[in-house]
Amino acid sequence: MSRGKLSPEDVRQLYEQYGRALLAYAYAIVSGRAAAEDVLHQVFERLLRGNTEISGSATTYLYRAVRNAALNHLRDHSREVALSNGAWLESPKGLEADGVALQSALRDLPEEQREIIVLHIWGAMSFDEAAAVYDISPKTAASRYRYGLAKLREKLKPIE
Amino acid sequence: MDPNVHDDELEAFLRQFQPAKPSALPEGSPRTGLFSVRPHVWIAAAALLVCLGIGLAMRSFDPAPIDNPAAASDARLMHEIVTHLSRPLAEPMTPLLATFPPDEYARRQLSTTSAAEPRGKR
Repeated sequence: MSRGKLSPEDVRQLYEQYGRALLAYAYAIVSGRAAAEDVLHQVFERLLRGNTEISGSATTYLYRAVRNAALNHLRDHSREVALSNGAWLESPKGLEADGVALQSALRDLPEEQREIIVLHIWGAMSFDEAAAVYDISPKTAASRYRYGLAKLREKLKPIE
Repeated sequence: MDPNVHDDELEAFLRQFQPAKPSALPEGSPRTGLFSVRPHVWIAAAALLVCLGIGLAMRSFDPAPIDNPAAASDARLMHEIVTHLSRPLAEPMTPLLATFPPDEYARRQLSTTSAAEPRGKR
């Protein structure tokens, strides 16, 4: 998707379309649901104000903007500790325990691997698109993803 | 989970979980223009206006008494004091010089000159 200046309606549509994945992505960087939502709203309110022009892919722009806002948030609130992390993945019926284990396992992954997994799985981004968010090569993005999956598999292994 | 599970299966497992829905964006368009200015800017502007108002009020206040003779007399006295204090420093010296007898001054000047004259003639 490629756009220039966005109307408020376009912005709201983008929020509907990418809000969940972007929230998960913000969650992969900051700790706590409230902080992740703050970051997400900050990015979209800036877009609603209408003084931001998007050149190139809107998806890449959104993920980059969320990443920058999340890093700024981390820098400004480095001393704060989230009182509650809250759930950021909705589990299907019967998989609630797996959901909790998965969130915990994701939290334990190195940040760069966790972010690529979120982008690829829940952001539905190809490795080329994910690589554009970080200015890295698609091969690097793919290798981070593979390492991340391997660690995730290890962490989700039942205790024997 | 089976530790030998393939990447495809692991991905399928992960995709069963959906990211949580974020809360709705605030309704209405965000504040723009003057209303988007942060509160501390408003406070600073208000303080500046108050200072400006006080300054103008003090400027327009005329301290010169017109109707009150006693106050007018005070003002005249104040004016004299200020005039007196702002006189050049040399002026207060005049009475001091006046106490020095002019004849004595002239005599001293004369004696100094006449004592120097013979040396010049030599």
